[in-house]
Amino acid sequence: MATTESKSEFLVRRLGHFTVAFCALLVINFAIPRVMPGDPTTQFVGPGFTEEARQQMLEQFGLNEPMWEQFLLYLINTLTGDFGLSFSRYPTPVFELMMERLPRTLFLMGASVSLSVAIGVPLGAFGAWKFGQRQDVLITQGSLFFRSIPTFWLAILMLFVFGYLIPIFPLGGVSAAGTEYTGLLDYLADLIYHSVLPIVTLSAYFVAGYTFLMRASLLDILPENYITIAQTKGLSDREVLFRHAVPPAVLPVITQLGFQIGRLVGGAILVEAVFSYPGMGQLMFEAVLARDFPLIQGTFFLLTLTVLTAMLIADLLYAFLDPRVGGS
Amino acid sequence: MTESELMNQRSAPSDEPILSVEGLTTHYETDDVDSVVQAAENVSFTVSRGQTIGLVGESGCGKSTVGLSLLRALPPQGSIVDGSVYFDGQDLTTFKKKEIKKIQWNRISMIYQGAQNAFNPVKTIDTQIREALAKHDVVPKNQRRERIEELLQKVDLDPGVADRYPHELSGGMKQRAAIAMAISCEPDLLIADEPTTALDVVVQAKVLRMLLDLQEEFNFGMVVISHNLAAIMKVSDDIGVMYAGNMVERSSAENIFEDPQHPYTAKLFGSIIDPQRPPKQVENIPGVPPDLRNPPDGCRFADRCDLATEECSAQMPAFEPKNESTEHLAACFHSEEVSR
Ligand SMILES: Nc1ncnc2c1ncn2[C@@H]1O[C@H](COP(=O)(O)OP(=O)(O)OP(=O)(O)O)[C@@H](O)[C@H]1O
Ligand SMILES: [Mg+2]
Repeated sequence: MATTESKSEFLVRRLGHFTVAFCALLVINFAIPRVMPGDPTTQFVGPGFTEEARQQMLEQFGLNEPMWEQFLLYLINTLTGDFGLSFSRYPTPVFELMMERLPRTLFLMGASVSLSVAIGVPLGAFGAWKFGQRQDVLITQGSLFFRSIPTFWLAILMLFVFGYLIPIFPLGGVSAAGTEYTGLLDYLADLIYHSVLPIVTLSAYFVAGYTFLMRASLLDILPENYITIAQTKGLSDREVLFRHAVPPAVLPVITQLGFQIGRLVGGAILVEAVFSYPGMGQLMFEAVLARDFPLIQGTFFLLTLTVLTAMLIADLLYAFLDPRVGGS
Repeated sequence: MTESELMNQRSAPSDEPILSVEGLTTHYETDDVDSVVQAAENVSFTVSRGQTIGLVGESGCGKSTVGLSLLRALPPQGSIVDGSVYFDGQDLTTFKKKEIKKIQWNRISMIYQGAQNAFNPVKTIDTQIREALAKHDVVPKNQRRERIEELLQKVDLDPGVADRYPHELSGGMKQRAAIAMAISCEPDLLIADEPTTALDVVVQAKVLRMLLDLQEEFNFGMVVISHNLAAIMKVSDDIGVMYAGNMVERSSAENIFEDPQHPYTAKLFGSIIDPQRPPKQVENIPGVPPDLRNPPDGCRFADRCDLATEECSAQMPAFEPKNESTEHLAACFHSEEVSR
C-alpha cells in the first residue's frame, strides 16, 4: 500500500477533519434550541422565573440581539467554558455541574475501553490462533451472547445479582456528598468500588466487539506469506503470533476504537441512568427530563467534544503505530 | 549430530548430491474427509552443490508443493505421505519439528512464491533479516548489522534499505530483499519459487543473473520453480517437468529442449523457437489438467495428448530412462513418437 502522503500531511488532514467537525458541532449546538418549535425565549427562559430574572436571562443570553450577535456571544461563551446557569439547579453554572461529573464519566468510559481492549484483543487473537477448535468455538459463542444481550437488561441483572442477591457492590451512586477522603488513594478506591458494576456492564458489549474484530483481523493476517516465513525462519509459534501476527492485526482494531466511542457514550448514558452513577450521562438524562436547556446544550457539547477528541486520538495512535501511514 | 559436525559437512566439497528426493508424495486434506488433493505423486530428483534443477509445469501441478515439502514447511492441511527427502544424507521426512527447525532457513532456505508479501508490513527489513541471523546464531550480535548491510549489497540494494519498511520498496527491491533474507544464513540449498513473476522483463533478467552469481559465490544447490520457460532454461542445469502432481520428464536442460521424451514437454517447449527469446507461457495447451482430488488411474495427461492410446488411460507409465541414457527419464509409453 504505497502512499504519497507524509506523516505530517496525514496529521494536518486529520486535524482539519477535527476542526470541521468541531465547527459543525458549534453551529448545531447553537441552532438546535433556536430551530426547535416555539419561541427560543420560552425554551431558554423557564416559566418559573420572575420578570426581573427573565429580563436578566434574556440580557445574559443576548436573546434580544440580532442573530449574528447572538452567535458571536455564544461562540465567546462556549469557547470560554461559559454555558450559562442551570434552570433546574438555578443559579449553579452549567460548567460547574459538568466539571463535577465529567471525570467520573471519563473514568467509566476509559476503564471500559481499556478493559474491553485488554480482554477482547488477546481473546480474539487466541480464538483465531485456535481457529475452528473447541476454544475458538467457545470464544465465538460467548462473544455472540454478550453482544446480543441488551445493555440495559444486563445492567439491571448485574444490579439485581451483585447489588441485591449477593450485595458485594453498592446499589448505585457514589459516596454521599461531603464524604471525607483520607487521600487520593482512598478517593480512587471508593470511585472504583462504586464503578465496578457500571464498568463491567458497559464493557461486556465492547469486549465481544473487540474479540470479533481481533479474531477476524488476525484470520486475515495468518495466511500471509510473512507469517509462514517467520515460522520457517525459526521463530516459535508464540513469537510468530505476538511479533508478526498481532501487530499488523491490531491496527484495524484501533481504527475501530474511534468509531465505537459514539456507541460508548450512548451506552454510558444508559448505564449511568440504571446505576444512578452521577456522571455526564446521568446529568444529561436529568437535564432532558427537567427541560433544563442550558444544561442540555452544555452536556451535548461536552459529550460530543469527547467523542471527537477520542476519534482524533485513535487516528493519531493509528498513524503513530502504522508505518504505512505516511512515509518517514 | 553436533553443531560442529554439521558445520564440517557443510564445507566439505563432495560429488554426492546435497539433496536427493525419492518418490515424494504429498497430499492435502480437504474439507471433505473422504478426499485428499494428491498434489505431488512419486516425485524424484537430485541436486548437487552449485547445481540447479528447474521445475516447470502449469499452474496447480504441484511445483510449490514439492518446494514446501523439501523445506518441511507445508501448510497444516498438507503432509508428506510417502517417499524420502535425503538432505546431506539424512531423511528429512523422519525429522521431528524441533530438529527440522534447525535445518529450515539455516541450511535449506526458500524464496517464497509471492515474495511481494515476504515482509511484515509493520517491521523494518533489518528486523526481519536479523531474526533469521539471531535464531540460527550465524553471526555474533554486534556484527549482525554489518552482515545485513553486506547481504543487501550482494543483492544490489543500498544498505540503507535495512531501515526501510516494505511499503517503501518497489516490487523489484522487495524481491531482492527477499533473496537477501533467504541467503542470510548461507544455506546449502535454496528453493526459489517463482522468483521473477510479478517483475518486469528487465528486472527479471537481473534477478536471475543475481541468483546465479550468488550460487557461484556460496555454492548452494538450487531448486528453481517457474512457469517462465525462458527463465528456467537460463538458470537450470537440469529440468524436471511436472504435470498434475507427477514428474513426467527429467533431464539436462539441453536434452529437454532438443529431445523431449514426453508429449507434454514437447508441447511446452515446442512453442519456444529460441530459448533466448521470450517464450509463450505454459498455459497454451488446449484442455485442462485433471482434478487432483480424483486423478485418472492411467497417465494423467492422456485426455489432452495426441499420442494417447487405450494403454495410456489404463495404466500409469513408469518414470524410466529413455534414449539409452540413465540421465534422461520420462513417463510415457510413446516416447519414440514424440518430436519437437
Ligand atoms: N493448502 C492447500 N489445501 C488444499 N489444496 C491445496 C493447498 N495448497 C495447494 N493445494 C492444491 O494442490 C495442488 C498443487 O498446488 P501447488 O501450489 O503446489 O501448485 P503450483 O504448481 O505451485 O501452482 P502455481 O504455478 O499456481 O504456483 C493444486 O491443485 C492446489 O489446488
Ligand atoms: Mg506455486
